[in-house]
Amino acid sequence: MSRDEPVGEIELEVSGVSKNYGQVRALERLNLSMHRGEILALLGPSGCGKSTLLNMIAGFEPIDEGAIRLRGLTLNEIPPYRRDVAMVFQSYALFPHMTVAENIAYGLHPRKLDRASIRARVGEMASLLKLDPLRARYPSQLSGGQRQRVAIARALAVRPQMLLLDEAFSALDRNLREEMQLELSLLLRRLHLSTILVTHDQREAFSLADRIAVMEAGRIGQIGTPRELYEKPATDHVLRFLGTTNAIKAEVISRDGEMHLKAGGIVFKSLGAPPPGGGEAIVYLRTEDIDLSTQPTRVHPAAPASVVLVTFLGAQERVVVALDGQELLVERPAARGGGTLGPNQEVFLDFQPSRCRIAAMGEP
Amino acid sequence: MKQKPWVAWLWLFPAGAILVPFFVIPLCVVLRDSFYRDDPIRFILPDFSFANYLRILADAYYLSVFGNTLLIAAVVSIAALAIALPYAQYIARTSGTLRAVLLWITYLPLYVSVIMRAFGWMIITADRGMINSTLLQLGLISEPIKLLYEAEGMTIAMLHRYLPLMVIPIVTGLVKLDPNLLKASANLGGTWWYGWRRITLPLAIPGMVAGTQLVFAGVLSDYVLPSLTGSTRFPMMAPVIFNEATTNTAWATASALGTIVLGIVAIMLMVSAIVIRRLMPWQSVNQ
Repeated sequence: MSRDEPVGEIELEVSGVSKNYGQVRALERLNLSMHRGEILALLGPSGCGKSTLLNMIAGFEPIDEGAIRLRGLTLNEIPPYRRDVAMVFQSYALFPHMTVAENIAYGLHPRKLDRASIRARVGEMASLLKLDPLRARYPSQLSGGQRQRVAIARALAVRPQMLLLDEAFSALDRNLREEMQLELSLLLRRLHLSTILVTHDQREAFSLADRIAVMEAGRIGQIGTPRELYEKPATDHVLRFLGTTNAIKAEVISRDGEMHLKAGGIVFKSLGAPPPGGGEAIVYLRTEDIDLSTQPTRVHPAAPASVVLVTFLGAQERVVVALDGQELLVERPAARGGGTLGPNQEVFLDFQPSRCRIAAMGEP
Repeated sequence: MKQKPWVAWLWLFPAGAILVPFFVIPLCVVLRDSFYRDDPIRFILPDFSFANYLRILADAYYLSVFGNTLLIAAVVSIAALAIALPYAQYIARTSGTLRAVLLWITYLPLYVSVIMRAFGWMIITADRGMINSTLLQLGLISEPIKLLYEAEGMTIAMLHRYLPLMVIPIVTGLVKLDPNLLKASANLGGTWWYGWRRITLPLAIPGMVAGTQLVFAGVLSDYVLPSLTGSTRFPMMAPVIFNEATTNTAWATASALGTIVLGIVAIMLMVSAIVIRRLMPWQSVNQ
């Protein structure tokens, strides 16, 4: 089942939104909708327009064209301080002159809560994000992970209709980042809070989001669940952006209604129906879709490749294979046959022909 | 590279070579002389006593001079704050050439000799000066307002002289203010005014305190502007001390007066340190 269309009540609707910076078109008539409680990732390289869209939702960027609606309410003309969306900034933007408790309470005073309610809400948020012992500290006295917790607590304290995360994990080191991602993912699902996260990190998008919109040059290339995007990438850009993908230059040869690929002296055979045309092409093949064998395989029956380097990564090993002038990266579970491969060893490739994606040369 | 601990002290040598003989030692001499006794014939007699201080602090004239000087220092500081804060905020929002030009305009008065500026103010504030002749021609007043050789005109000239010293520390503080903090404020529901009151203003306080210290101490010890644009009916500290030391040849009295001014400045610095600690507990933590 395709999840291009959200199920349930629509929370946010972006329709035909464009943004220009002078001659540069940052967003190109973008459409997007998400249902309540959904976590959506905007994934793409820098300059793809993902942060622009987030800033438009928050109200920091005017909307040149189109409309953004939150629970049916058009946001276009509403100033940032009256929009019910809370943002966690990349730098966290904690107020350096306020304690953790004062930071968390910042958004509660304009909402005219009485002192007792503010204290209760701050207490609730501090315990939710495990900040209880740090309430009297200043941001400069906190670690990176603690600062992020404060930023999240401060945003959640106002009970927003929607949470925006702007590269919120990029300042943390890897182990802490994954720990916080898991924790936040569980928290957001428990709160059933609609969330948009902007990231260029595929792992972050995968570990948090229900759906991912892969953006490229102001457009959404593909939107769907992580699994859909990973297994059925709609464009070469999506394929290259998710996972680690080899791009092999090869010649497409059609013979007997079957396609064969010739990369230097190495030929991969019987790869199914040939595409129209032929000639030079780029073959995209994910690193984990390739297996290596010391015996000839169906797709690689002769002229073996050779191992250049084997890197042990714990659960996996990464093998660099020389493919007659080109280098190819293979990732496979380390337990299976770990240690059996070494440099200069002759290997044969094995892969499902359906996992190849073939693009004519010159195509982006 | 490891250095012997005493080597680091060598860095202080150039500053010390100037400050010790030409500042610290004379200051000690002034302090010593303030306890001596003025003598009409033998100039100064080394009779150690607190008599000068007791006489000064019981004398209505000297007390009024302290009062005048502190009043003008306070008025100039507050007026400078009121002008500098919005101006600094504007500069902090600009960038590139515009900011450079605005900063240059801010520094400009410092490049012009204070005597030249005093004469400039004299021309503007005189009875037949620019302000009065304009107001007279417009029919807004029938008699010239007395500005020159009055406290009012002197205050304006002082404000002009010391305003840059207020603007620059505040600009320095506001430029460092992360614009994301104000975005975060708006995002959390804070209006512009709420964000200004809770983010911009508190983070500008260190600059405001530094500027106030500079302006206050400057006005307190200013000699040129009170002499050229002020009034003898509104005496200020520095010219009074100068008169005691020269015209009256009362060197000991002048020394005691000078020491009291130094004490006032010291108290002011301590008070502002306490204010900083009370208003900005994060300051001691962030360092």
